[in-house]
Amino acid sequence: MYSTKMNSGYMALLCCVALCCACIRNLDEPPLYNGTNMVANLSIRALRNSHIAGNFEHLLGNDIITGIVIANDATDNFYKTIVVQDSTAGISVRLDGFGLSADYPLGMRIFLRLNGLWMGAYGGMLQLGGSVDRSNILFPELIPIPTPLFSKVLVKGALEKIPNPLKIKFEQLNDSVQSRLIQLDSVEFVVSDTAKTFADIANKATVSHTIRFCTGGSIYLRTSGFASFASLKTPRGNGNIIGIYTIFGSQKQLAIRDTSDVNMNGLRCSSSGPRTLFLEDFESGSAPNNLVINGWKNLAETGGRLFKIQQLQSNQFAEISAAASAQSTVVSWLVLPAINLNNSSNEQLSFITKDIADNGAVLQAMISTNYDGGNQPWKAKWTILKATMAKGSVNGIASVWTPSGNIPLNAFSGLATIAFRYEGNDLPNAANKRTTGFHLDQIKLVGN
Amino acid sequence: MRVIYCLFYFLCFSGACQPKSRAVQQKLKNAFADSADFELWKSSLDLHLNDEAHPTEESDSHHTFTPSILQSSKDLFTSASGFYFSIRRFRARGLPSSAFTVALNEIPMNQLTDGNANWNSWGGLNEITNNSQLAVGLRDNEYAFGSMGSAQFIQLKASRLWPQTTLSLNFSNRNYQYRLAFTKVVSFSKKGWAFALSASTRLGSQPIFPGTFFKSMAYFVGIDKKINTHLLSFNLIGNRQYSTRVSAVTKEMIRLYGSEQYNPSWGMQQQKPRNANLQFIHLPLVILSHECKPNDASFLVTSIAFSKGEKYATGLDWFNAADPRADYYRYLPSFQQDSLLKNTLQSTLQNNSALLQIDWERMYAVNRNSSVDQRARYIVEDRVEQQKRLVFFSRFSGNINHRFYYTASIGYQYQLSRYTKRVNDLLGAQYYIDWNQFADDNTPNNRARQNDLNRPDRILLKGDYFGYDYQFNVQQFSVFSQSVYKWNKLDLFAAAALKEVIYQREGLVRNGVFPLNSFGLSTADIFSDYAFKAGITYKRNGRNYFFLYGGIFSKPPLMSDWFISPRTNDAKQSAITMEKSRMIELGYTLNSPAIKLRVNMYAAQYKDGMDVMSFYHDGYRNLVNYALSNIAQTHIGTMISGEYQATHTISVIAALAFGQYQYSNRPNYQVRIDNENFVTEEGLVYINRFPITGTPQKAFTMGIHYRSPRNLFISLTGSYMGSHFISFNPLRRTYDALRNLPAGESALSIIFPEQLPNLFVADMSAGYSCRLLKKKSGTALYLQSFLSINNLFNQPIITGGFEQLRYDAANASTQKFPAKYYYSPLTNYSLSIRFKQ
Repeated sequence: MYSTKMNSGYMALLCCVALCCACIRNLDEPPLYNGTNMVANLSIRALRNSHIAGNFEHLLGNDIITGIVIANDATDNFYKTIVVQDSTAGISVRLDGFGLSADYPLGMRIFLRLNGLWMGAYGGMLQLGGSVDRSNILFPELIPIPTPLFSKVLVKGALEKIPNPLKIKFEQLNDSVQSRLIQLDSVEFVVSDTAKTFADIANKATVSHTIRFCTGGSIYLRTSGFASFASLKTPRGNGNIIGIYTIFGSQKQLAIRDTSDVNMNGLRCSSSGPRTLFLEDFESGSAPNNLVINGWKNLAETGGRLFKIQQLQSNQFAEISAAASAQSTVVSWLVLPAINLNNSSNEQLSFITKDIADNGAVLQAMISTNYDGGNQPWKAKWTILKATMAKGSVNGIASVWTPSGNIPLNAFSGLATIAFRYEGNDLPNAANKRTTGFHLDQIKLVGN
Repeated sequence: MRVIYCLFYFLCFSGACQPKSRAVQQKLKNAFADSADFELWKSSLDLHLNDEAHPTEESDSHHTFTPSILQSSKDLFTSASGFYFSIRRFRARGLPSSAFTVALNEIPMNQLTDGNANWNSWGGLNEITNNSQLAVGLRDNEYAFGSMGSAQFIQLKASRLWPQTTLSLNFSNRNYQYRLAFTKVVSFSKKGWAFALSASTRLGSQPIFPGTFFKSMAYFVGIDKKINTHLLSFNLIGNRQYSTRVSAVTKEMIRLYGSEQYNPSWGMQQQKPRNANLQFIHLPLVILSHECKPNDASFLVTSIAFSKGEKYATGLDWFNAADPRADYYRYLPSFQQDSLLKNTLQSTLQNNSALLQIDWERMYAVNRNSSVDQRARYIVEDRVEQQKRLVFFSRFSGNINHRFYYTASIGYQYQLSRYTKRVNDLLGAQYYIDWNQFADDNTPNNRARQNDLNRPDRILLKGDYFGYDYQFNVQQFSVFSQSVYKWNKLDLFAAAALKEVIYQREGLVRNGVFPLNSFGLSTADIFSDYAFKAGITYKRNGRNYFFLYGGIFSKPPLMSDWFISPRTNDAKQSAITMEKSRMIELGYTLNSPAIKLRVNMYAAQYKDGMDVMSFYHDGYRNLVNYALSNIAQTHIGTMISGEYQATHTISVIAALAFGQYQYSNRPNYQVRIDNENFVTEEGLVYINRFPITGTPQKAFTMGIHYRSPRNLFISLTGSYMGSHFISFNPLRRTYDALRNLPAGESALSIIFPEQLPNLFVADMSAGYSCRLLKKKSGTALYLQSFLSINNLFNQPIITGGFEQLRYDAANASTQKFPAKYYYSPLTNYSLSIRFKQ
């Protein structure tokens, strides 16, 4: 019918066709972005200084400024805005887009081609924008730069370290630090604004809270109702806060990027000073005996070792050690009386320790809110507190007391119990021995 | 249903036991024409010239019996107009696309989920798939009940294909640039074997639209074995295809880009164009069938088909980042209120065409800077449909005597379609998270944003499934019966079909917004429906036929019109209504040697239709679903087609479709957002007497064909299409839409449907064939070539369009979301060269 020769030819052809199989080759990925060699020819301060109050400047010419992004819309507290600063000053740039943090993450160096942009103030706040909306003749406003112009106006540089915030006192809050990343120390929310949500998330409404300086003066913390952290509560304590300084009219304002900008767990600066909620210096016990204080629990989980009252240079303290116990495990508990944390705020725990012949046994300070007060504290759930413990005195007793540092307990509420837990052993092999002894004294809880 | 099944088999066997009787006009063995790739030539000339012989011959005979109208691979109207009207997506009689069905070896290919057929899954095999018959309208056909529009039956059995050895080459600037196909069909050997093989590959891009490409590999195998009166067949057909589509664009984008050939869905990556909207399909189908023809009077065919495969479309997805599409309305000059910015933007976009395309490299840079661990802000996702189908089908045809023909069939179809998303490319990032950004209300530990509460906060890598994930599970039982009586002057037929359809959704993830009704099986819905039709043909003589057909149908809602937001939950439309329709056709056919004419008048009515439309609404920042119910339509019109053989070499072919297709009541609508558990809006859609959209209602084509005796063929065709309205947004025709209309302003610009400009287009085609060499064995090698050139005047033609489903109700304005249009390539050509033995 058909010649074999022809047929094999067809088969070969068929194979060729089959080889052109429909598949997609892997695409070439772009190389890593290695920045730009663009150079700025104008400082942000010089730019700001060229502004005439009440005016809108149409920026022409080939000026370029550069700065590092210090705020963007990552948490939606800044809306259609990024803030950049160089070593001289900062400025807000209005950009008409969502998800700006994707393109302009914190720490990115940005070069701004100013040609064609507008500079003007809104409520005294100097900004850069794409045009001016004069529809409300009393409040002309900058229009954000449209997205398609981003690549023309903003040139991306490399990711750099976010600059350290400028530490500012109340008296230094003036227009020269507008749009700069600043840090305010020793500040706290006024009492009526503590433990309030940062903003009104239900109504998506902006909320201002008053922050006061211990040294006098106050500033508003403004948070957008769209901010991802809007539903979190303001802290009760004192401390520092980092944010972007803004103004509206004569109102001094601060805007944070995230709640990690707020570190206010310290004691409030009340005129009467902090209250001491609890203090134990072990002077009333009788040394050298096992520690017995009313309301306290001195318990040995394993190994049979208990905390003892000891005296040295007319100072009494608690002591624990696994030395000479000949036990393979020593776990001992010293449990303080329960304290109701609801009657105070900004509680801070502190104590002092000394170590003796340190070879690795451990003393930990812990807190529990579900401990039942019984004789088996190890069945409760404990949170280890971040305390500085004495260590490293390998050849004898430490010469000085090690302060634990102020340990904030503001994360806990209700009835809470503090305990010290010792863990060591006295194995025969010297390398495995964990017999460090600890002295513990001046257990103190203060709060507002 | 089971009783009916038993009855069917009883009838089959009783039919098979009939004594042999002489069959008149037995058309079971089809006169399948040479399946030429160049449809036009074939359909307009070869086929009709060939067909023409039969009736005349018959009518010249002395029998008083007048033969019935032959069924051919294409009816005259379709062959005269089909190609020319397709530029405006003409749908005959204005019927929905689900009214046009297609079957491979009698296996229905329209999906049970959405009613559409995946034509691409057997694309590129024209040499094989051109072997088809078309049953238009209500007319009886020998295979199945048919449908209101048309039913196409493609015959793939090796022994029914034209024996050939063909090598085809195509060059074109349409969807692809090159096609290479090889086809070999060998008819029955002495031992009763027949086989057919075809493979084709299509490559290239659409040169007129930048950023497109096309890559396809199609294959076909057919093996037949004849054993006495039995025929066993095996068929495998499939097409593995990657392609890109050109998105619809607004007129503003065309002004910015400077031409109608704007395609927003691509951008440069490492100096190479990359398209974000890639489409893939591969749904291979295996059909096993058995035919038995114990005698001339009875015929039983039983087939079973399996298909398993996947199709997907890629798209961009993003989380907490800007919309990467360059034609996003907020990026355009029209969105700017400020005239200065408008001008700056206008000139910037016009002078920098890269800004009108996707910026891939920016997305890579963003992803690499997104966080320390490089969580993706942008990804390319696959919107996947994985499909499994099982179809069983058995048909018996027989004739009790030479006047009475009987056909009955039963069928079972099972379809499992899984719809989900898959990470296609992390674009330089390390991972993505299975969160639903639209349900992210910024509250800490938010459960709503979990796409899957069963696997919360899942880290996604390339190839991982994510987002929505659900299956549609559909089963359909059907029976069909048809009787045809042929008297001397009259043909009568009556047909009935009954169906039972079972729908069930199965959620494979537990959505954070709908924890109670997203995961697991929904309640099953069982619908039963019926269809009846009957017709009478008066055969005045072998040339003049008059016919009247009528039918009534009921149809359950399609699964995709029944579930409102299946991506996230199993909510259904509130009231079950079966779509009821009826149609009547009146016609005249003239078949004379010089003139062929077919006139067909029809009237159709639909009521109680349902529809669900989904789109992304960036005000709600969510996918929004419009569920319509109680839709009623009327379709009235006339179709005329004619062919006049002026001389031996010149013929004129013309077709006219003149219709009026309208909505005839006010449907109900409900709006539901994918991530909200309540109905946001509902009411009436005021569209009574609105036109049915998406097809020209008036169309006319006329062509002059010259065919020289030296195998040269040239034709020139002009076509006109008018009364074409673009798909409208039902929500612009509601009470709420006009509430904010400024006083004194006319609502007409909002509610009046937009009509596309009337179109006149000229096309030409030419063909030439010759014998290259003749071999001693008697076989010869032929060259056939065919060239078609469309849109001779190089016009930018709008092929279709739609109003955006989003509407600026606050300002009662259509300016913000103007209509989008599809444009055809300009003058385009296709050259086909084939070597055929």
